[in-house]
Amino acid sequence: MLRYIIIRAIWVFIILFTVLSINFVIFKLAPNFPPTDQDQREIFYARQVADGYMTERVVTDPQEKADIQNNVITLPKGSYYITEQNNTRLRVWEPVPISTQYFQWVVNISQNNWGVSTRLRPNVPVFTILGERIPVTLRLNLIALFVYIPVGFFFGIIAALKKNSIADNAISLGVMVFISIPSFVLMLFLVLVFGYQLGWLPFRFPAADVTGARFYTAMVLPVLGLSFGSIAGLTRVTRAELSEVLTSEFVLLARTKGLSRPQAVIRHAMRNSLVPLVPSIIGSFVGLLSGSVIIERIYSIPGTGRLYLDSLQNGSYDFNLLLALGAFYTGIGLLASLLVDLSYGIVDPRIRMGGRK
Amino acid sequence: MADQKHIDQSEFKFVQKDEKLFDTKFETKPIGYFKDAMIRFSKNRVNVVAAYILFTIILLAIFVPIVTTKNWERQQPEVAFLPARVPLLDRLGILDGQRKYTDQVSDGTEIDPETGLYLPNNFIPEYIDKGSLRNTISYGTLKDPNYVGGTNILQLEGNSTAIAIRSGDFVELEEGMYVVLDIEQLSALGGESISVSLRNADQVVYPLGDITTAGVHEFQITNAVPDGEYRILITLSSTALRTNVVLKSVTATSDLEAEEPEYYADGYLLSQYVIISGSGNYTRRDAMVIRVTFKYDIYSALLERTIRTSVDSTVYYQVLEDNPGMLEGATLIDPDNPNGGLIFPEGYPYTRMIRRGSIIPGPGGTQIYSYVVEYRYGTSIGFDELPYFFFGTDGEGRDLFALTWAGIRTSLFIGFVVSMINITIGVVYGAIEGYYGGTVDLLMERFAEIVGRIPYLVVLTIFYAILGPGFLTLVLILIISGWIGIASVTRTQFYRYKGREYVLASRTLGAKDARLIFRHILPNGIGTIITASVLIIPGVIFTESTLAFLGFGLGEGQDINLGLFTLTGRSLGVILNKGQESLNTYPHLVVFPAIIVSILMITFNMFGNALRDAFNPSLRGAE
Repeated sequence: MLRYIIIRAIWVFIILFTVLSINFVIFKLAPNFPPTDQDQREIFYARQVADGYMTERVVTDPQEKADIQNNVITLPKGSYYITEQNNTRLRVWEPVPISTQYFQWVVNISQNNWGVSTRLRPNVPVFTILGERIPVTLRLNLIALFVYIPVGFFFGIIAALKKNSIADNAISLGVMVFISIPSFVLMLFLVLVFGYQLGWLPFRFPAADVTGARFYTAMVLPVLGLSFGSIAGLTRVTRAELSEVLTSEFVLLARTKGLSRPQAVIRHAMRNSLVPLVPSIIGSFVGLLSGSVIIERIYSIPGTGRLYLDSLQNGSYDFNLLLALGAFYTGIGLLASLLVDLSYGIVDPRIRMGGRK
Repeated sequence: MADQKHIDQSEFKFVQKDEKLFDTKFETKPIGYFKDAMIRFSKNRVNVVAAYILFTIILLAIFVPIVTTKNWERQQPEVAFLPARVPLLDRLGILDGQRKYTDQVSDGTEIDPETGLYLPNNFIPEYIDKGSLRNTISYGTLKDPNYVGGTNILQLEGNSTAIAIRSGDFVELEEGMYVVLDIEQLSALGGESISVSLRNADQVVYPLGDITTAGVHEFQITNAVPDGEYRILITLSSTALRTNVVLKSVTATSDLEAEEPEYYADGYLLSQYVIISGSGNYTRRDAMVIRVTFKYDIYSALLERTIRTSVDSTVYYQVLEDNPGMLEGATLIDPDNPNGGLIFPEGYPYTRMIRRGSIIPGPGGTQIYSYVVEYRYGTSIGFDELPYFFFGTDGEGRDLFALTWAGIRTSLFIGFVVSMINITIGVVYGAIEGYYGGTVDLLMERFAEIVGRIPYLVVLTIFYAILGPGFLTLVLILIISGWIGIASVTRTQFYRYKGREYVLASRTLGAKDARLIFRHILPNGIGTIITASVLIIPGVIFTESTLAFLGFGLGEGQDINLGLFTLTGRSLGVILNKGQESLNTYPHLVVFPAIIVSILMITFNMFGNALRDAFNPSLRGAE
């Protein structure tokens, strides 16, 4: 088992590293977007030199200076210069080759240096920005997770126990509707009805540091918007699994031994139907997280998803931030898939992965 | 039915006693794979209904943008943001093109004669639905002319000991007149006093007197003040912090008993006094405003209104020339004046010609003159009758109904194209994996795993950074991980069938790999592959609309040109993204497209599920 975990963990790191490397190289090939403000830009380039992505030199030779200024000498892509001391000399920043940058980047991220933001909040380390946003998103998603699991189970169990009744048909219809409607459409309806028309709940997320009742009322709509689709999905899987287990012989045996129906269902059928469900619940967290990008945008929640969209504004990309966010999302996704694999072994004693033969 | 237990023996006979059975055809028809699927599909009523709805939507999406007479491509800002209006339903008061306005300000000058309620400012009373008219009164502190009454408070702030305000206008004053100050309240913190004075345009100040208590105070103008125009100055001075005075009104009159004094300022006018010295604030309190809630026939208000304008004579004659019968059918406004105004018959650009303007000599001895004409605004922008916009219009005045269907057409097109590409890539990839197995399989599986594990946001970023927005980017984003599901299903099918005897037999006969893959193994696994493929199209539409909604799809001006016809770049996600910007004020921009996309997705998924069940080989023949 340990061997299996280690192999899976190494595999996770390989994928994460590959994805980030592809990302890094592509961002370096794309046009870069340094800070727009002059002072911030100089600080940014100085930082790039310190991180080893660029070199800095001073051009005093008048001929070379004129050539650079008149575009006779073409500087490498992504270079930048400023004139200093009454236009007598130039300070030029030039990027080093991408391969060198890449190895430097590997060294840097191993020291947890992910660079600074360029457009959203110039020269603020990206992990500082990310650190402010992650709690908001995680809190929202965890609340959604803890709301949707019991509700989904509840409806799934009802539908399975009362199969082909009116309740089952109604639940199946609801499942079909909520699985099909895109979450942004649902969220728009929720905001329109409960936020604007009825006015029961805030129509956008309030400014930071609200606490208590106001915080929870503000959470209602995004949590609903996030969890409707997941509830429908979980209901469907629970119904399918449970109704399959209920027809199996060991449940019948339990009943013939004299167990009541609830006992048979809860002690025997439920536990067995959980086997495929637990991994799918862990996996669903990734789905919630990516769904939360849209909800955060519609409801103006200052989370990582909104941060991602903000740093991906056309013509004003914030690549360092995008790279860190990409690491965050890929990392969570891979971690979840690792947990899914491991949970099979924990939930179902029959499965022994990578174990001794 | 007769008694079947006791059948007489004579009723039995042999079926084929004298003939031999070798090759008699089955009397029943053979049921093929697809036929069986069809039979099982049509057994479920709900699914059949869903399929019909889905095909209706697809047909509407294809044909509505072609046959519609309404504009959905050009911008037409004149008719932007109109609410929905549907024939027949509008008679019932649903979707009748009326917009509900809440809490609009009324200045209290216009009253509806029937109900006796106040009418709002800036709306044409004719088009207000009188039955829906409601008045409410609210109080506020705004220094706005629509707010009436209330008091104004002058308060000292900081360490200032005096603050002065002056009237906004000059007041005509003469000897013997009274300046009356009505003070509701004066704080008694000690040492406070109010001095009233007059200041003329030359900045000469004439004091009138001081007061230290609340109440009505009169100051008569003595002969020390020359007759003329003055601004009234009120100065509050005190040593105590936060000393304040509540002013009710300032009057200037020659007769204290007069009902209408020469100058009277309270409420709004008093609030327009300006602080000229000292530090403090001057605020308004308890001002009353009438707010009106009503339904407004915005279609008629916009298009039926008459506009009077003067046009150049050449333009006027050109219009008369272009519309034969217009002048002939015209009647005179005043029958006694043959050179006066004309009333034109209906259906022409102008409704009336009021008069001819005066003649001005122009250059080169020409004469320039104009005609004052009236026209119906709707006619001038191409709406001879009130149009029916079923879903209303969007922010640029396009018909949302046709726009929605055009958007669905784009979404469907992208959905079909991308699904076909995904299925093709998936089948080929999975076939190669499954057929060759071994190292090839291992490497290709790992590759698929890496690609499949990249979050869609990262994929989005990568393609966006390299290619920028556009059709190609969108398709690539949708393809990049869309094929993996199909590939793994195909791979399993190949593992299942590649060891079968008929494959071996074919190989012994010399069949090449490609023939084995596509002629022998694939057709056997096709059922499962179709089953897995059916739900890909709604899945792609789902993702596409989500991406478009986030602003990463197509958009304005990014039409897909297919040679024969062009698909609009405004897919459903784009329409909803735009509508979301004015979700509160114009909810119809979101509600109608959202309902349509919901129905599309629900029916598509139901249809897909039904088709999947029908094609599922393990359910074949089952009831």
